[in-house]
Amino acid sequence: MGQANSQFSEDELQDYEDLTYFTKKEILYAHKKFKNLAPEKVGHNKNAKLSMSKVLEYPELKANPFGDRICKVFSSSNDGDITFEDFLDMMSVFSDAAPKAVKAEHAFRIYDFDGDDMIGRNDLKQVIQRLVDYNSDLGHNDIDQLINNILEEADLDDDGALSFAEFEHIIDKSSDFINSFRIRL
Amino acid sequence: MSGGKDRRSRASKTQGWEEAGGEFYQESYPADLEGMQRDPSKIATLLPSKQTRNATTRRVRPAQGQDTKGGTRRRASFSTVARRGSQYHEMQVATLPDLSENLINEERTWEEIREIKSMPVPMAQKREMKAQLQNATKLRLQGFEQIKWRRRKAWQSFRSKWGEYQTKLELWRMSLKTIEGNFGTGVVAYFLFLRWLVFLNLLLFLLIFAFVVLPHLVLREPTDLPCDLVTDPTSVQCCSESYENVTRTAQFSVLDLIQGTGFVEGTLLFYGMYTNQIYGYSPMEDRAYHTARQLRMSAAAAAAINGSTVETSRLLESDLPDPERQTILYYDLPLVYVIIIAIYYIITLVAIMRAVVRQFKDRIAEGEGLFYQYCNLVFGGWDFCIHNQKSADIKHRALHNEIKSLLYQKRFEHERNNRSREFMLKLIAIRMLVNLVVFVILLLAAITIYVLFNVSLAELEPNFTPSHPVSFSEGIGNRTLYMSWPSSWSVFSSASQRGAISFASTITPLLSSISDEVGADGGGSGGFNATDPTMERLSLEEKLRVLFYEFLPYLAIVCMNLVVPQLFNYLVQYEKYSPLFVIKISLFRTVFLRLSSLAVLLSRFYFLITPMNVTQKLLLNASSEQGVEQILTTTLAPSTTTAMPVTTTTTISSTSTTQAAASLVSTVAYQLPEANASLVANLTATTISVLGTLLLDRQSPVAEAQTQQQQQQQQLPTQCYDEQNGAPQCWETFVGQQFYKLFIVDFATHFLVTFFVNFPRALFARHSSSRLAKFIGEQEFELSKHVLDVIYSQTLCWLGTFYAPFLPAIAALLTFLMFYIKKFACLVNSNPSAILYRASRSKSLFMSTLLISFTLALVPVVYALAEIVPSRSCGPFRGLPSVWDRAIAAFMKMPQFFQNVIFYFGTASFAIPCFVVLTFFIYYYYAVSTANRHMVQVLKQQLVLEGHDKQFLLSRLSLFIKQQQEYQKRMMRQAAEQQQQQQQQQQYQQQHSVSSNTANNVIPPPSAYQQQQPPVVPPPRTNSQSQASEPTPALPPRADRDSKPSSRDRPKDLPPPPIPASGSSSTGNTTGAN
Repeated sequence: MGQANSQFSEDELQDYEDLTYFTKKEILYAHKKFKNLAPEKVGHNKNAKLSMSKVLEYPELKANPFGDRICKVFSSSNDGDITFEDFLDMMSVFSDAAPKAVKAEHAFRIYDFDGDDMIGRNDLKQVIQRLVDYNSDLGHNDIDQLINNILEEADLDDDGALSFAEFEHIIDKSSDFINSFRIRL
Repeated sequence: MSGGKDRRSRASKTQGWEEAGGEFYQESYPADLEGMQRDPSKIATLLPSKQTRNATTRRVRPAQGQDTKGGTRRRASFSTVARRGSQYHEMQVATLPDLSENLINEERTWEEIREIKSMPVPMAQKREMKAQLQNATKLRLQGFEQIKWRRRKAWQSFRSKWGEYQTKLELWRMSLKTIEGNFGTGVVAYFLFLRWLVFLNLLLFLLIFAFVVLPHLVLREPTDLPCDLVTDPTSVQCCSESYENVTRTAQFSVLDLIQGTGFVEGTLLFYGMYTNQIYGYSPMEDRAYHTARQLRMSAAAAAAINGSTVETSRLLESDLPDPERQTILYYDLPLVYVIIIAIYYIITLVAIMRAVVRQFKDRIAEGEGLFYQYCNLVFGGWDFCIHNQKSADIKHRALHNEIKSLLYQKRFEHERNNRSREFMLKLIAIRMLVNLVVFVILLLAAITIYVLFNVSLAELEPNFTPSHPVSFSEGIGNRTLYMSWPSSWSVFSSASQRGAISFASTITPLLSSISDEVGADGGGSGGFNATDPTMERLSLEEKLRVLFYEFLPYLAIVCMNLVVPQLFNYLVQYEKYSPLFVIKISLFRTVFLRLSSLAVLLSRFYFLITPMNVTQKLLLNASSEQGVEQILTTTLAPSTTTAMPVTTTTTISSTSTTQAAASLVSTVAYQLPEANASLVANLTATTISVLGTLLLDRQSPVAEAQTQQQQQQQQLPTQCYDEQNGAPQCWETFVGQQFYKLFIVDFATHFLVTFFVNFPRALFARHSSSRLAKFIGEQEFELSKHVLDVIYSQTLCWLGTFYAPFLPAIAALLTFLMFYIKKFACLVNSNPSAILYRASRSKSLFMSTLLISFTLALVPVVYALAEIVPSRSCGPFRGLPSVWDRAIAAFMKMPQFFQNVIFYFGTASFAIPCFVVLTFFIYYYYAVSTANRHMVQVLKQQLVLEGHDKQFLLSRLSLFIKQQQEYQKRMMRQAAEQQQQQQQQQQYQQQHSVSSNTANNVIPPPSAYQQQQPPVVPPPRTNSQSQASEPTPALPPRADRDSKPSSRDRPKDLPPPPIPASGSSSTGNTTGAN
């Protein structure tokens, strides 16, 4: 902790505290975790940019089928590379304290693979395939059926894709989302 | 900028767009066609629905704290802020009219800064925004405002600090994280449930401790009359004294700790040790008490001389020195005891209800089809907290299964809707049959357990009755005679020379079998075993036989818990329920199975207590003047309170009633001189009613049919309790001990099974690769089973709390330890289950099961409180006809006004209007909900229509813009051509061949475009047309799109845009050409 402490000035910590859902201690803890990913690099420059493959070694992200999407969404350079600040943003959104709306916003972006501000059929297909693992025996018919069911449920304006408003509505109703969209630091 | 403001990708692409369109957005006039001409596919992003997007993430802000924020300031810094910033700004402008630019003050800035964190932008940008806000000039708050703001700031920082401490103090935080990482949120919900139970039990215990135990420890107990002053050997005082003698002589022993007997019985752990005295709390008390005592003693002496059986009751004692005593504070422990127990159950109920209601809402939503099953699964299915590859694989599999089963369910539903009438009838018949079978199985299980209990007791009897008491007291006699209840009891039964009476004999082995099990389960700690001396005298064969019979009922219960659920699972197939419902109904059936064994146990207790209860009633009756005095001194109530016990006794035995009536009459005579007129009337009414019932009883043949023995026994209630029939001296404590033991046995079983059975199994499976080992050793973490375990012990706690006030504390402690056992079972012994447990689903599972068992546990408790006569020799309610009587008596002491009010609640004049009003309310809410549902339907339909309209208009609009652009291009080209031609002409004329304009590539106008077409209007789409097949007009922005429209940007699937008539060219169109 002492080491990490020396890497941040009080002002920086204050900034981070104001701008995330963390307290100072948690920020330092997050930095420790970040540093564990690449000790020398981060030890050298506290805000070093780590490549996506490096960040994906973080256990929760490694096991997560959407790990690369998460990195992309939170990367400030849009290429999946993550600086500590991006990491902090990420952890802040996944923390318990973050409100549902903030989580929903980011979840939407994670699931929006093609970045067109709508979750379309292809996005849904990717989500499902990642969820059940690519090599499962869920047939195309099943996936199509599932996508149809989803759209039937949630596509209120019947345009074949989920807009953010629709997505947020789903999240509002979903009792599990707030529990599951969470990474404990 | 605009639409996808927070869209990172969009933002990068729209840079040029943004800069040029800056001013136009500040006017927040999204419908401006000029802007759109640049990039027709961006129209969609201008829609108001997209504009409000950020507002949703910012909902948290207080409604009025919104921003009158410095638009100019923001605008000035526009260029310095990166794109995100501008988006943020733009959102502000778009959603909130910029009313007063200068009204920014410190508080608002502070609020703004706190809002930044909810914005989906990278940290660097957030920092810039924060710096901007901080550096901007702002108004200082004045006076009160300043104070208010300071307070808010302080409160905020306190809250964050507090939150930090809280997370630090949070129980089992790391354990939960580990479990979550390996098993997902559904299983963690179980552990959270355990934690919730620990806290609930702790809270309830604190309640009991503060109001029941603590006063007992702190306040000085007023001493009651010594026994020898009272002539009646069955008086409350004498009984208490004999009981105290019994308990006081006990010495320390380890076995007692487990059994709750001996010296443990003499502690406050059990009901028996709580006093029935009222704690006075005044310096005057001593004097008052002494005078009262003297008065009473002289009265008692006089009564003794007179030969009448006067009993100086507790109530008399507290009421005699009325003039002095009423003015001082006092603490009525018995009353508090009842009330606290009632509050205990109410708090539990409220806590459960609170949790259940939340689940219930979800379920209702699900039932009405408002629940997004599929979306919930897909978007909330993955636990982002999983950090273990193996668990991730299992999670994938579980999700796969879940999706499959959901799809299956869908198909199943389809099939169900298509079921024929015949089929339905058959199915209903099958279901009823299966339910009947299940019922029969449950009944059989209960009967089997009951019979086995009896068989085991009957079998054990010859071993125990003759030899056991003797050997027992011999074996332990050097320690103490009254070491434990079974012993003292057996001693009594042998002393009464009625050892062969069935109850005494049946109960003794029951007790010792339980105690034996405790000894065995506790790993034989210290080598204590209640029956050891007996066992040594028996041959090995005999020993085994005894052991077998002792454990027979428990073995039966365990076997049934193993086998019967399988049977249920088999049966449920035929009922063709939906998969979700199958899980539920199997669980509930298993719950009933488990509870039925408890019910059998309770019934055993009941039959044990009942004969004693009869004696108690007799005793009560014999000293019914006590009840009369109660009337005289405490209340002016109607005669029901006295009449009740008296009449109940008359139905039991006629002979005793004679006695009772006689004594009653004598008391009336005795009291007459001093009683006032109304009381006399009251009493005579009682007497008459008693005599009436007596006469009736006399005439009935049942009265004569009673056996001689019974009559004898009832005529001579010379003992405080019915020792011939094997009733314990203080049955409440006895019941408390049983629950205490059961609780500990239950816990020990879990401990042993987890560490000594399942753990080796798991090890075996892990280190051996054979299929058999896998079959034997691999365990899934089956949630419903573990839930049942916990709920069972919680039910025991609820049942036993009244009789053992420390039980919640023990429950809290053991549940706390249970957490570790279950954690071990979860993390070490088992693999994640292939069934997907969702947090919400498993929570509702726990809570509904808990609610069921709570309700079922409440039934016997309420019955016992209201009906069964408390022991005469112990507890706060000695000498009362029932526990609840104490509360009623207290109620009767309340001012008349309150009584009237409460009584009024019970009358029809209150109930009927109340009922009617409630009905109205229900109807009102029903109507509202129907209307709402209808509204939802309408709005949904409208939404669909609007969506279609939007798409249609957007497609038209983009088409139109494209046409215009094409037209402009053509016009430009034409103009360029004309220019070129002119230039050429000039060149020809001037003979000068310099082409100055590089942009002027000579393009001959395509002939096709020369044809002038009217714009083609695509036919409006109908709802039924599938939207997905057609390209969405609101096209996604391409990554490579630049701000200048060009022909390659045009979506390929659109028809070539028709060109408007050349004559319609407007001046406005040329502006986009730059």
